[in-house]
Amino acid sequence: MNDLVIQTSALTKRYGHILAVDQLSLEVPRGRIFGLLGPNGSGKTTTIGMLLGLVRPTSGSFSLLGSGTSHAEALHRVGAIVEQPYFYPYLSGRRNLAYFQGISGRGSPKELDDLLEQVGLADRAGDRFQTYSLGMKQRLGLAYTLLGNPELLILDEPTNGMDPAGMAEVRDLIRSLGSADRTVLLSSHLLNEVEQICDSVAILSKGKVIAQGAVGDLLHPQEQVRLRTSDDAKAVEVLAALDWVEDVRIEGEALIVTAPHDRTSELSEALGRAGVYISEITPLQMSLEQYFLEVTGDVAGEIQ
Amino acid sequence: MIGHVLRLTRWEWFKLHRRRMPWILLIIGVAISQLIFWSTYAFVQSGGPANQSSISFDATDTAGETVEIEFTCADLRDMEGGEIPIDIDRFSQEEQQNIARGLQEFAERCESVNEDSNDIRQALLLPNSLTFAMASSLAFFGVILMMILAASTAGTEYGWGTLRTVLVKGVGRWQLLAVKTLVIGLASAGLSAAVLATVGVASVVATLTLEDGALVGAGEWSEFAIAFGKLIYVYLPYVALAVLMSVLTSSSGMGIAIGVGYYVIESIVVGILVNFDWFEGISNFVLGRVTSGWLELGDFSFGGGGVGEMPDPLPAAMVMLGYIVILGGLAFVLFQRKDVAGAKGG
Repeated sequence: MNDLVIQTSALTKRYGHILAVDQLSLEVPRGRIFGLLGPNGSGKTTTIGMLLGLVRPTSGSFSLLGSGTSHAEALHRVGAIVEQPYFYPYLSGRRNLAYFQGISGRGSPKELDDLLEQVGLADRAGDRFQTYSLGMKQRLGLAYTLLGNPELLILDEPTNGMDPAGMAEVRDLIRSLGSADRTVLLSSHLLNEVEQICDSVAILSKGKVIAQGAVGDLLHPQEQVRLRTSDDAKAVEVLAALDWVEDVRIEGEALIVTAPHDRTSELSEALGRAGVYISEITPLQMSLEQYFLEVTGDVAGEIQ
Repeated sequence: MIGHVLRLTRWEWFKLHRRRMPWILLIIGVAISQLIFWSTYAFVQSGGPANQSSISFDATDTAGETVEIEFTCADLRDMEGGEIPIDIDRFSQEEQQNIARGLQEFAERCESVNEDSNDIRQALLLPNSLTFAMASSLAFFGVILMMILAASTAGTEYGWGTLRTVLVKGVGRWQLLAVKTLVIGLASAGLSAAVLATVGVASVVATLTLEDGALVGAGEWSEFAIAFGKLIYVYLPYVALAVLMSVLTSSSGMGIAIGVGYYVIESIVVGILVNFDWFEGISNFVLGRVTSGWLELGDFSFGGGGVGEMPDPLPAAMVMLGYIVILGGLAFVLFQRKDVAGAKGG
């Protein structure tokens, strides 16, 4: 079994003089929750559109679920929502799902009931889609993507329009969906969403991948703690003398110490021996947002 | 493969028959055909063309007084024993001969008027009433309704953004459009049959109230069946046109506007150009003309563009096939190649 469910090679899409996706090479490993992060207009949706056969690439190539599978065949094993969940407004949520289940030729009425229950729409399943709130539409979209128990889920901004409680619920659901058998490609412009849900991430800017890897790796393994002490000047003196402390500096009313998190108790012990008392210890890690700002600079403002 | 297409067809029908649009089109179709049928009925009941055609002239009697004499074809038809219902003796011999000559000429004219009256009367009776309904309403309004149906079925998927949702389920594009076209064709036939069924019911009701029961059973059922098949064939190039325009513009509204607009404008322009000799060669390839030529049956003249000499049915059918292949082929190629965006709202 191929370990890559999505592989693109120099994938390019040009709309007239606008280069939407530029020589994109992307590798999504099987069984991971993979984030596609980028500001609006960075080429995320166009990339997904090309993967799903909605948009014709100008050049380049890609494979979906392994190179030995035809694209049409692969799509039967994919569940995807692009941009927004679009359904027939005059049909109920349940009938919409029944239609899409029907055209794919797989599944049972029980599957519909289970999915509607899973996404919390069982009570409103008989109502017309046009009466749904955006959050409910997103939930129905999630149920749609899960029809037929697909190997690969492609979710484009799945929490768009949801209230905070709904977002948390859906994020939990997406996390539970990623498993050894199933891969999730999550496209989002929400940094914290990607950070909370994804194992790996590719960062897009102006149609190009500017960074790709495990979320932990991208955040740099640089570990820091923030200390509040009874005597900062003396604490700096003591900690700087420890050879395993990489750096120590005063920032405002606290000390920022770069040192392995598993040796935090030794920091405390050394300061205690020197008569410096610690009132607060907080482990620090570089956020994806900080990383994003570092690698993209000028476009970071569009990311939330 | 066949199973897949049948499954898609079934689910396309699942969507279509739950929409309001085909039912609204059916109501409009029924209303138009019933209006035409009952207007014809009222016309026949009021005497028809025999009551409308009249002759009027002045004659001078022996007292020197001028008398206006007026007859309708119905008066002549109803004359008992050939007796003129006026006091003919008040006129001089010469004037009597003038009156007799005038009435003789009018009686000859009335023969064809009475034939027309008979034809119209027959158009109320089964199965001629159904053929007449096709000629008078479905061949014109039906084409418009089917273009609306076709553009709406193909175009709203763009407007609602659902084309994306369908295609990412792995449904092939050409298969989807083929199934949509098939369902549009079936729905067109179904809508037309339903409209004709209501005309049939009206025809039975009308028959019961008409004085002359001998005319029941006017026409041949085989003629009706052929006409129905021809009518469905007429829909096809227009359905292809509406689908192509919807795909080209990614909009049902534009598909309807361009399709119906072309249909109406073409019939107006052809009506003008048919007066020019140079247009004669071209006219055999104009869609409205060839459909009219194809549909022309017996006493009924179908469809728009019916001015002047119509193309023969067989060449007309071949030209129509050309339209179906070219317009339908273009629609398929475009549908296959076009990028699919999100909802457009139209």
